Amino acid sequence: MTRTTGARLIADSLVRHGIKAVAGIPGGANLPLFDAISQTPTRIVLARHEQGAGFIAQGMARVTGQAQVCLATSGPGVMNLLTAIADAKADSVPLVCLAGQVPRALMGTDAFQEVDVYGLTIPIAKHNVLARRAADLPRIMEEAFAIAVSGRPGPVVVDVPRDVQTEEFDFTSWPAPRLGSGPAESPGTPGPADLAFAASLLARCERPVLYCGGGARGAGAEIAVLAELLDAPVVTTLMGLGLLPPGHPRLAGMIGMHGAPAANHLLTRCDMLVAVGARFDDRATGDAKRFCPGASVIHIDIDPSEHGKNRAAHVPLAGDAVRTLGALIPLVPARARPAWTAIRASLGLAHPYALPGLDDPKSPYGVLAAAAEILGPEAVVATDVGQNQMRAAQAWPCHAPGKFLTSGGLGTMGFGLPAAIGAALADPSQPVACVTGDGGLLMNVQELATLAELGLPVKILLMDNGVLGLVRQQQALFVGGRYTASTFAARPDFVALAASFGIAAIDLEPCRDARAALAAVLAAPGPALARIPVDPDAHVYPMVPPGAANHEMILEKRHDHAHS
Amino acid sequence: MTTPIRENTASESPRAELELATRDALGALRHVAACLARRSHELLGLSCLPGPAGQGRLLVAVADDGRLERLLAELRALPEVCGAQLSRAAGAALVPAAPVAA
Ligand SMILES: Cc1ncc(C[n+]2csc(CCOP(=O)(O)OP(=O)(O)O)c2C)c(N)n1
Ligand SMILES: [Mg+2]
Repeated sequence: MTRTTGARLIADSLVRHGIKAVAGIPGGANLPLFDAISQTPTRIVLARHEQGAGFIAQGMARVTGQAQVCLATSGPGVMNLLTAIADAKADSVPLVCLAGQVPRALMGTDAFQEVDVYGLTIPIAKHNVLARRAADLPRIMEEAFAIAVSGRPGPVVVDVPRDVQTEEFDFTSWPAPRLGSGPAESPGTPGPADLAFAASLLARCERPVLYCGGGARGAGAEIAVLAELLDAPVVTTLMGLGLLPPGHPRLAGMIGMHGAPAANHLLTRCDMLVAVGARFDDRATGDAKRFCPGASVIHIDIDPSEHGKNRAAHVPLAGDAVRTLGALIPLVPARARPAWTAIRASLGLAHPYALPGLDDPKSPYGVLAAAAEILGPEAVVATDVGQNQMRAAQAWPCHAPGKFLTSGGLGTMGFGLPAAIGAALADPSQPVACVTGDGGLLMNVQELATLAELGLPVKILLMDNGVLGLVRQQQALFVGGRYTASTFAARPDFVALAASFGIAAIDLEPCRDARAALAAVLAAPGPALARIPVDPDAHVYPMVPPGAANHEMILEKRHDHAHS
Repeated sequence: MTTPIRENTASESPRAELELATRDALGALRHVAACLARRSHELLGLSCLPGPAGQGRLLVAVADDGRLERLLAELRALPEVCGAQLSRAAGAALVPAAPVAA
């Protein structure tokens, strides 16, 4: 038995869970906690905005697959964290968010910097808890880390009043975490009858497709085996990028709003859809009623509440993807499906898909291709949101899960820079690319200071088009070309801006040999920014109009309105 | 099989009663209410019954619009809830019944 305080207990639990770095900002309500953490080996990264801290922790979590930690003080501090929490929930990212709260005696009095953290985070966190007594913290912290990573991962919020941080108590031992009762927390494998039924449907189908999302993350090998047995193509969502390496014979590309045409067309033709860790999100399915209209569905998901949410499944299989596929594979007979192979080949010919300007390092696609080639297959890329993100999803060759970090479910502008910092913190030995837009960079631009301080090799590829590009594209195509509030009249000098933070920066626009300049930026130690000028009227194609079916994607290079 | 269409026909649907065993009554109440609201379930009635040592029971009457299995899965996943089951058929009153096994 040892005498300790709430704050020291929390700090010890971070060490116990292997947390090497936390990101946050101190304030009155979490000073004891910062003080306690400073006395442990865990490094404190001072972000410049709590949203930045949340995304830095997310960057670490998305790369490592382990729960990571961010901290904010009460009131405005935790309010600033909310977007990063909701973002982590949407993309199933394990986080433990430690919020300071006003002392217990002041709670409920509208005290200075008091907000109802518990109430605010109910709909956006996987779990939230208010620590009422320091003696409860051993259990609360064990549960927080366990719940964040178990089943379908997600953010856990722990709200700790200041006087609970300073309260002394006798610590005896770390209790075993008590998890929820549902299979989402302690998933087994589906029952033999369900697996046998799934296998019988698979044996009979003629045109199977494997549709994989972020939940398939660890199951690339099993997916490849099943695809081989079924002679089936594998398509992924934005969150599933990297599941199979580029050029893998089974990989048919990304589906959805800006997906590969042949991949989207495959879905229209399939008679069997095996969904693995994918949740039939509207950005992936287009008009849900016309998504794989003729297909039977086998839906493998660790979270049983995903079954039947957006699409009824003939066989819902609740379980971890690796184990469920491992149990299913021995039951599935190998069979070549030459007719389906022929259809796939003809779809590929009918819907060729070439990104423009891939060989021009001054073009948006070309700079991505060049950077990816220079950085190599191990590189991590974090994107922001907008055209820059969709171009990166299309052009960046993703070799493994956890290497393409993007805000998929919430689509949060401002994600890219802090997430890239987090990724670099997790592994500072190799450069991390940050693909961002001129709008999104400004949404967390303050983290350039954090980056400069850390000196990490984050390489910002700034796609500077002077507009909210994806918004402008939608206005061009669907709002009669009326560009309301999507053009920046004032455009910062981004090279000077980065330089003012002490970050090396280069404008590729005047460079004669842009590729060599880019290579030099990527090879230099420490952070850097490269500005790439982008035509504000260059659209990202293909594009499925909102509400349309995936096969109704628009392919033309320019829309009339784009010139008006 | 077609994609289920989510139209608001709940008020004409039969009702169902869910019985939840809870660990933290207030936390469970807030989370269950939030879950129903987030998924646009029609709440017909709710009662919260104390049990021994912080445990308790929530009885939740909702319209049965064909999404009960999913709703139960989602409620079971809540750490504040340690058991969830369909209690009994339409029209039943919200009165205490035998506790749910945790
Ligand atoms: C926080 C937030 N606000 C608004 C939006 C809506 N939105 C989506 S894309 C986009 C434009 C992004 O512009 P920019 O960062 O310059 O990237 P580009 O599309 O030009 O590459 C906007 C405003 C969003 N996704 N996130
Ligand atoms: Mg822009």
